[in-house]
Amino acid sequence: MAAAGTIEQRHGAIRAALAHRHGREPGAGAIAVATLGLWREVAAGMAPMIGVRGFEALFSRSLHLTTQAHPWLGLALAHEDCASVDSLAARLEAGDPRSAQEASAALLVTFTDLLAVMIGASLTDRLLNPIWAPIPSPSAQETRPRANE
Amino acid sequence: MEARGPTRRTRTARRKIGAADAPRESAWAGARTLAEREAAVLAGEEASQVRREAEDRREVAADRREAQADRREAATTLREQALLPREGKAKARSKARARAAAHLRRVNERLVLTTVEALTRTEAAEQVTAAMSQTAQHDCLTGLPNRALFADRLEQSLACALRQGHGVALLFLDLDHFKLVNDTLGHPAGDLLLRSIAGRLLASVRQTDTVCRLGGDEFLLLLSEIREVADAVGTARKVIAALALPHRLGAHRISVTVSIGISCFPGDGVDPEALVRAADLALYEAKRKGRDRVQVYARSLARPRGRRV
Repeated sequence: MAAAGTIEQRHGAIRAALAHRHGREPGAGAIAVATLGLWREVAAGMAPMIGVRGFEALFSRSLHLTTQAHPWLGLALAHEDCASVDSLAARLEAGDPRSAQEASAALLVTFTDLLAVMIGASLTDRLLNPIWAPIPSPSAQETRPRANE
Repeated sequence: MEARGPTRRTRTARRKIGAADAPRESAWAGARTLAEREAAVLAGEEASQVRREAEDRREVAADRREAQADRREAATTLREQALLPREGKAKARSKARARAAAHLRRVNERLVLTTVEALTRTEAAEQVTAAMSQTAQHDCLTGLPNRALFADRLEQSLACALRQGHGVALLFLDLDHFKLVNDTLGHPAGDLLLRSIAGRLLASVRQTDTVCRLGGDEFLLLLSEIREVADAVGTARKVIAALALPHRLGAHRISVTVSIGISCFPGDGVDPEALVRAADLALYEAKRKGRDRVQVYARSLARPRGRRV
């Protein structure tokens, strides 16, 4: 995948990754599962760089900022000092699919924008672009010619 | 180097000597004549000579092998000795790298935590600043602009009107018999009524207009762009109608009336003080005429008639 050169490209890649994972016309449950999977990958990628607490702080801050446009997401914060990815997924699952889809993408976008402010867009893209890259489908893997053939 | 048992060379030599003696004894035992015996002796000596030479050569070869083995062993020892510190260095380098990575992660983590905390505190500070600004420029009971903010808006409106050539109107409002509400229903009910009045006033004017609470039951409306006095009068009547609808104050529902005095720029004054004074005089006249009405300022009102109530 080419490096996302602009903010718009990065945002587009995030939305595409989310859409690729939850498929067409998803229910809130599928969106929650896709969101949870992406966030776990982001957490796993970021923790060696900024530690678990660093990731949690960034996630909480992003959630706080996102709730300004999606107030219902704030319930994920209301009962915990530090919001968790799991509580977010539960909140998304309880929402309506359209709102959940928009809020999920908005939260990921906010997180990456915040990270880019801290460590720069280039490093942000280098760290997270592999996560936004589409996962090859099993059929594509099967039909792909082997290197030694 | 540790002591070892009989070497392979010694054991082989012993075996060879035993094997070489066997034919000589056999030939001696088999000799029947002196000549045969002498020949046998000579043959034995010759065989011994050959054997000694072979043993010497074997001895030399064995010595060489042993020297080679010693050299190999020494080289192995040296290599082992050389490898030990190299492995140690590699382990130390690996540990140092792991320590550096952990340190970097801790530093990054602290950086992220402090940055997020700084962002959060900055946001809180901005909210406090905004709240202070709101408090400084707005009435705490109704949330409407206060006298200071109104004065600023009025100055800007007059400057804009002067430049663009349109009119500005000032509406001075005073509730009729508001004191009765406080006296009969209590001040909390009076506060509820003032909030209700504020909401209806805001709903009665354009977004570009300004509604201000001067204090008590007095309000000022700034209509920032009017074509003629009739526009202001129309808004004033709309306000009277809006405020006349019953207000729900807890368990009570009451209706109130209001008196309004109007002054216009530039006819009734060209500065804020003159306009406010003119609107106040018009309001006094509305009160004097029986309340619940609109009065437009006229120069005749400028004559002192006493205080309004």
